[in-house]
Amino acid sequence: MTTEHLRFAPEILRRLGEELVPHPDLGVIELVRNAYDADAPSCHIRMDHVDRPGGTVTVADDGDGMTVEDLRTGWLLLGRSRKTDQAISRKKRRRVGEKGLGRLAALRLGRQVQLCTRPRSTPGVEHVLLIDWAKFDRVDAVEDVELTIQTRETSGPHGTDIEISDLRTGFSKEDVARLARALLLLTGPFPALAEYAFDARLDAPEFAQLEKVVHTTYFDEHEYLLTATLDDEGQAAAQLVDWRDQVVATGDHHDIGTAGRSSKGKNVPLAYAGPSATFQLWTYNLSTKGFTVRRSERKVEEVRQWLRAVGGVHLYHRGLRVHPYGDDGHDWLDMNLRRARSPEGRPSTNTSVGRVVVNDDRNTLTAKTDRSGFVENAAFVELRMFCQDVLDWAAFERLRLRERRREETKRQTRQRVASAKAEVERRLGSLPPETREVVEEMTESLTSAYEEQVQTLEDEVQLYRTLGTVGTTTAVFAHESSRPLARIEQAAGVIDRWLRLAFEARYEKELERHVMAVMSSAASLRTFTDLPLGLVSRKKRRPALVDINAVTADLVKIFEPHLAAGEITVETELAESSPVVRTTVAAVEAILANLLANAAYAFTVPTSDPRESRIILIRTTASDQLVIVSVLDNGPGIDTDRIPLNDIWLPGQTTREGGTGLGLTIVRDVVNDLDGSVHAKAEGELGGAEFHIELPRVIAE
Amino acid sequence: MLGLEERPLGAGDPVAVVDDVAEDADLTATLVREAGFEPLTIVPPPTSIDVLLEQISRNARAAICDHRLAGRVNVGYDGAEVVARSNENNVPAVLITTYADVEAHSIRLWRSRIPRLLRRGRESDPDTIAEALFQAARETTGRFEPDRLAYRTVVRVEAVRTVAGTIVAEVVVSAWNPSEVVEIPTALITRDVVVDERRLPGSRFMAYVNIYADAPDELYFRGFEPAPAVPNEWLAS
Repeated sequence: MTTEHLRFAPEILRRLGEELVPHPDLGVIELVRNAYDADAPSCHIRMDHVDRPGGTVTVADDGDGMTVEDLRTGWLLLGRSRKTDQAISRKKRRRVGEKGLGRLAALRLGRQVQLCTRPRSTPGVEHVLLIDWAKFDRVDAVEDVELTIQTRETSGPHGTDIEISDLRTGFSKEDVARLARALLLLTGPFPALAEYAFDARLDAPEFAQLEKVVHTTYFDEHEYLLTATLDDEGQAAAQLVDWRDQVVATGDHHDIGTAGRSSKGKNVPLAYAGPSATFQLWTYNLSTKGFTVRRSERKVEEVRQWLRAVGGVHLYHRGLRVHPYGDDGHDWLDMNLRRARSPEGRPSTNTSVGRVVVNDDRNTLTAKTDRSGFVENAAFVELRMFCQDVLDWAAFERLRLRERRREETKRQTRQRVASAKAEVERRLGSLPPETREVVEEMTESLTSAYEEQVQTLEDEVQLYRTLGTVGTTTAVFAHESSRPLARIEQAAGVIDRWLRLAFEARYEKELERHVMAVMSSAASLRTFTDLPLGLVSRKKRRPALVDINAVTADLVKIFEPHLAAGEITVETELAESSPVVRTTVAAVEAILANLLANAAYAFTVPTSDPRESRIILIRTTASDQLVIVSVLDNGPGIDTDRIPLNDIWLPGQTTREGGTGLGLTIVRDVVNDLDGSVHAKAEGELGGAEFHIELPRVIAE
Repeated sequence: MLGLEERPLGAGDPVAVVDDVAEDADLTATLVREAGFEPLTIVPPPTSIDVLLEQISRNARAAICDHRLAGRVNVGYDGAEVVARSNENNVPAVLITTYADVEAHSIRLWRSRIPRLLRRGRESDPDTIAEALFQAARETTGRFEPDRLAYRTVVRVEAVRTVAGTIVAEVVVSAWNPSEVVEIPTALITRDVVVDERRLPGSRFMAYVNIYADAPDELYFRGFEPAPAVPNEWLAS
């Protein structure tokens, strides 16, 4: 009988080292995490000629160092985590180091490694270990290479220096910048948590530059600070504090659990099954107005730049940041997605910075082997859900807050006006009679001018409200008309078929046209009900790449029966290359429907002009940059004696009796929203009004 | 019980017409008679759907059912469910409605077993009704039109939102049309897969979809499963 062992070919080192860990900086960070586990207050990384192969990286710390035994059973033993057997360090730090694979990746960056460690337990002694990776290439199995630990006297302080020399490949500028950012964020720019004090530095200009940005913090410039906790029992609590340090909302577990879930009370977790955690989020209002309100003396741009460097929610596990949460492209709480879906009161990763701090005493979170975050097990998923629910809760609270403020402002404004008026009257009473009269007159004239202005605005609001009501009731009635209309259509069909059978030629001669009139009237009515229902379809309000030709064709089809009744023909000349604009179908319909309705109305103006036909022409053309939509007609044109051409866009300006004067205002507003332009001619190519709309074109890739 | 196993649906067969509005039921009954069948109106429908299904299967060889049944009476179900369950019972049934667009979500929930959706009005003439009933009869014997056959395909969720109290997912079925978003009730997904609705955006599922359907309202979805994760090596640069 013989005894054998499993042996590992040297290639395994490459597999587990450089191939498993995607970026060299992740390996270096792993050495820094080892320094943290060794209770080092600081760690220093030096880079010499690393921009090309052959350079050197040194990682030095002032931690507890390692004894020969530590080296043998820990540092040189790959694949075992110290977290389980020696979870807590001397300084009560909970260990973060994993199985040593990141360390292996770092050590294999160079062709040689020298480790020099001075254990705190035996002062005056240092152990030196050299690894020459070339030796591994010449043997069959990893364990065939002997590694020697030399022990010698030293006067140096305790700690460990690791020198990785003769780098196989250089560090690119991006690698260095990524390492600098990772180091700076390792403990973060946040107000320090004493138990985690640890300083990691890198000798590189990129670090110094970024350090300035990261460490000049702007936490006090926040608009809101959201703080939430998840306790050991899985119960959540949160509070929202504004920039004045006033608590504006507090939420308990139920509040947080229901926020964001559409059916109240449904699916609220009894407890979140994640590790206990603290979530803090500083959100910013990056507008000059916001800064002025807070009387801030700092510049919006500085804060913006800082947030660009540190923004997002970072995850801190036992005091050290876990890559890649909060990095560019790793919006793990879907903040940007949520904001895109409903922007009200929601921060993005560019307007907020936050941290989730977890200790994970029960070791429920498991790091992925390639060190790119945690495995998405139940504990992690629930932790993330807690954070997202807290974000939803805060968004709801901010919405409520805004509504309360709006009401409050309205009330206060009314009060302020009343008391200002009373004050003016009181002061006027104390003036000498000769000046009093003049001032009274001036004050009255000023007040009446203001009141007139306010009245105009109120009228406009009233008009929009009325139109809004017209819109909603039209939609309801259009919907409800569908059923009787369908009944008319069906009944007319039945009558037609039965009468035709019963009376044959006599029906065709005397009755058919009347039944057909019922049918065609029903068809016209159908277009009138379909039009508003089609316009309010939610699908049409979804931003998309919209083909103007397709929308034009659809809308013309809807309007045709209505226009045909007025003997109006709609002609289209559509661009050959697809004129695509980034917008919503509803926006394009709003433009075209209003222009079509105006043109149709224009033909109803009594005129002695003997027109042969009534024509509306819609023309689309496309250049490299623009899509141009023109709507022309051969009606009487715009009567500039009654309304100056420049005023046609103003709300309430109309020459039509009973008209709202809002159609062209809406056209102008929609076009402006799309970064386009619109202009009109009173008498255009066809003799009537002519409108040109230019919209930025999107070229399909 | 009159079962299809006896003989195929044919002229003179009793067809149940279910509606909550007598005038509408009467009109549909006339059309059904014109189509060559013997209409049997059930107005208003009973409170229990089981009672209704029993009435249909006992007295009729097929059914045509209005979708909105709770307009005038209190019933806890809609026509889409009646039609789907009737077809499951091997009694061919089709749905008739005025509001197909508006009610797309409540209909979509049962769409896989609704062979035809008739729009009230000029589109539902006797010929169309007869054709629809015969199609439904063929489906109960497993013979599907090409546009009603479902294939296993990838369904990607783009967004989730609440529409009139129903949580709907905006999905893209690339095999049907890669550039059109279709709205489906999330219940279609969550009745097959345990998943938090809010985490749906961005996720992909495998499901059976009739990808040869012409219009989005003809699409049906069933048998959702989480799509397998994209292998890591595909993502490696």
